[in-house]
Amino acid sequence: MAHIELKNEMPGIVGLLNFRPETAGPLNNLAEVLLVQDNSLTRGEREMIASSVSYWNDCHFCHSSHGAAAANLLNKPVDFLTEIKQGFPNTDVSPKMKALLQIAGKVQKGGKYVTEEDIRNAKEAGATDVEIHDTVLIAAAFCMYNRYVDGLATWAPKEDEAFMPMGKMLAERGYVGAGEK
Amino acid sequence: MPYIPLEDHLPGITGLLEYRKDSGQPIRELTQILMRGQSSLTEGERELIAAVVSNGNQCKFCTTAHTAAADLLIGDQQTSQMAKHDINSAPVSEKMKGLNGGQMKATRISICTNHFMINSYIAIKQ
Repeated sequence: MAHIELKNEMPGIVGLLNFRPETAGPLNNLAEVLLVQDNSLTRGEREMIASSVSYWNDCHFCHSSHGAAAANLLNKPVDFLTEIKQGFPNTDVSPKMKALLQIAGKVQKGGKYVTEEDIRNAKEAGATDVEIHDTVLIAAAFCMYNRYVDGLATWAPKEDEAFMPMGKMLAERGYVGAGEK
Repeated sequence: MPYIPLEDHLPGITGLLEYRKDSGQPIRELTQILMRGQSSLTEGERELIAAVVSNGNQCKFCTTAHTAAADLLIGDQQTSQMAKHDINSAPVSEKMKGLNGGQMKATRISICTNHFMINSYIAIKQ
């Protein structure tokens, strides 16, 4: 049960966005800019970063919903969520994405864990300054969203399959207006 | 030196918000609502939460900036100093102690999580 009375039955962040519309707008707009807006990183790649960071933060709702969005965008089945958890053992991940996921992993531990070497590896693999910036901000933003969702003890469905319809909706409609009254 | 080219004269988050204005905009809006929007917590109390969280995350820029704001709004420097050192010893209400201490509870969690994001984001500025 959530730590506060949400007056709705919606899962994860959706219930929180509905509870507090004043903060929902900018939270959704940030997700839209970072994950949907045109970018040299594909939407699928960006959702992979978001879902990975959320898994490392042990946030089931965020990891599963964004993993489902990634699966939808990349035409992968539901077991792509297991791939994400395991660090993509059976997925063709580019050297650039591997380097960016490494940076995201460091940010998840704490901003200061990102080293010059991490940055150099990403640049050598072809990452631009903007791609590095966006990777750090997606990772940092998801540390925020994960703490928001779990800090208030929101509920989430257990099975991966339960998240696939949400993933399809996110892939098709993005984040603007999500959960808002 | 920052890992990406940022304006020299813009420290901490200010350079990052300028670098990427489209992601900067919702961050600014969220921060404005949380820190200055209508609330039963005073602006000073909210700045204190931000300073305590940033201090816990060892983010120098954010801690300094929000400590300065808290001190101005509260009217003294001791409150923020004591709160950062040990929230239970600080001259703040029991409600504020609960909001700052232990694991994050109740409605002000969003300020804490916003500052976790910004403290992590600042990494790019080294």
